[in-house]
Amino acid sequence: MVTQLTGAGLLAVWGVAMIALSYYIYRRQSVNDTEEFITAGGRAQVGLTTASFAVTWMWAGDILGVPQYVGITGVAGIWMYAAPAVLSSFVVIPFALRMRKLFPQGLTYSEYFIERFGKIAHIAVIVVILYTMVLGGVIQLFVGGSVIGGLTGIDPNIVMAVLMGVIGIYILLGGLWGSMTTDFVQFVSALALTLIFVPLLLLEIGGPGQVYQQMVTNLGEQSSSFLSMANFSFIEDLFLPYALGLGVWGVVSLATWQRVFAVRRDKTSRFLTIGGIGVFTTIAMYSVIGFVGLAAFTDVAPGNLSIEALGLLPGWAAILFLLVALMVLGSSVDSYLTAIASLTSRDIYYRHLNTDASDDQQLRVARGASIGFAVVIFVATVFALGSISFVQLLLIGGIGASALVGPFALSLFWKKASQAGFVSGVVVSQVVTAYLLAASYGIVVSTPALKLWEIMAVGHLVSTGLTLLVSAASPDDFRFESIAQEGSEIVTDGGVEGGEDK
Amino acid sequence: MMSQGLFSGMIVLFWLAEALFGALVVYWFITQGFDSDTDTARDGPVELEDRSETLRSLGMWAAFFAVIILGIIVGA
Repeated sequence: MVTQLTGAGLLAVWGVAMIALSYYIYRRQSVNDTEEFITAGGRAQVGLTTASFAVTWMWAGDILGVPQYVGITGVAGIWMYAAPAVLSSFVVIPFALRMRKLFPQGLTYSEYFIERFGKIAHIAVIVVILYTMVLGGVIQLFVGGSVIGGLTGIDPNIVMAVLMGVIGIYILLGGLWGSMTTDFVQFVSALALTLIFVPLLLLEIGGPGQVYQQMVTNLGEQSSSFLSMANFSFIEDLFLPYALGLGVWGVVSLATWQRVFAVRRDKTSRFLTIGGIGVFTTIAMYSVIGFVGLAAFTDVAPGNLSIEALGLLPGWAAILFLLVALMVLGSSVDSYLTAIASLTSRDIYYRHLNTDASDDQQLRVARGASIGFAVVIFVATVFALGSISFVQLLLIGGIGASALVGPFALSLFWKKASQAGFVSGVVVSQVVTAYLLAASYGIVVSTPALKLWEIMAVGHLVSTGLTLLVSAASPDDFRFESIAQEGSEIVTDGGVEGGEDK
Repeated sequence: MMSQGLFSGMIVLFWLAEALFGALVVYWFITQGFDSDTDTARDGPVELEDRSETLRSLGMWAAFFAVIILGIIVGA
């Protein structure tokens, strides 16, 4: 346990450091126009972007989630948890390469839909992305409030308010540059601390060998299944829902797309590959918390394994853990907040409300949105903290992905995909999965009660199937070359010259 | 059920992989910096990655998934 004073001091140091860093990058990179704010000018190097991408995918929830998986299914929980996150980076590669070919320098990927289909499809996409990104922020803040508040004794609402206040300010200053630069520092800090913190935790029990022996003793007959990588007993509950939801979440996440458009065009698949595989190693390291918990305790619920195991550490080590939590939490929330600010400025304000908006006006809206949505995420998290479970939040986020991935793929590679097909696929899929989700939790309706992975699968089938069927019945004949940005020859920074976004 | 040696080796492997990943990204950042302004001014326009770069990435993914499957088989 960390004292309230120490916890408040850590929060203050973290906040001042992140804001100062963002101010530095704001001055260094001259973040004074929308393109710099939203895409970092499309010229960020692969190291910076890979770090930012990876640490955005290192969710604060992983610190609780991975040990929980290990507590339920043993060592197999490592790949059951990590594989979906990694899969997301793999699946997004063909989308990314196709988009960067069509849109050499996009600002938000959602703008593609207005060019490909029109305003109705664009609005449908905006709604899905907006709630997905807000939920992404809520999920992170939810864990931050619970864990940091729990470890320090500070009221979780105060912790969340401080976190969102700091993140809102540094995004307001530096936009994507601010997000990626603070992400880099957070990435290095989180990795360094994990590399120190995990061995320390193991030594508290006596090393890996001792952890193994105590696990065998404590688990008794269950040890053979808990120490088998091929323990598939919980694959339907643990692996499949996340593979079908979070496994494709990267394709939908505007935070992912901002980094795709930010990196140099010739490094697109490399940063997704190294970043994605690197995330696996981090998640795998968190599994050690679960192993130590299984070795030290015999009657702790999987959901509490993480907190109980961390309780074994001396106070100073708990501070290390708190720092890891702050770093991974800040990196994810700031990415979603930047994405929402970009979506508000470009997709909602510029594309629908004020199509003549100047660059200055768009930038002002983006900065205003970064503060406005910081408040929205905070209020939503305060509400969620008392009424929804962490797993429910994760599931709802995944459902947004199930509605968009198939129709998005068809729109990119099939010229006959039409607006009617796309919109019907996305909207009907969302309605169907929302109904099935409500039924599975007994909210208002109670049948049919499907498993989570089945709901996800239905979402994918409905969205992709309807887009196919309706488009086949009423086909488009789209010329992809027509959406290449005006004057799209590539200039030295990887961007385009004379495009409409200039 | 995996042996004690395999369990300990797995944790050591995770630690090494994490350290290697972090070192690689930091090395890239130190050698490349924030942006590619200087490179592009010298070398000209940045084209979309070529086929060999994409195949190299896909090869890394194939190797990664092969290691995961091998790990499940060996650690069964």
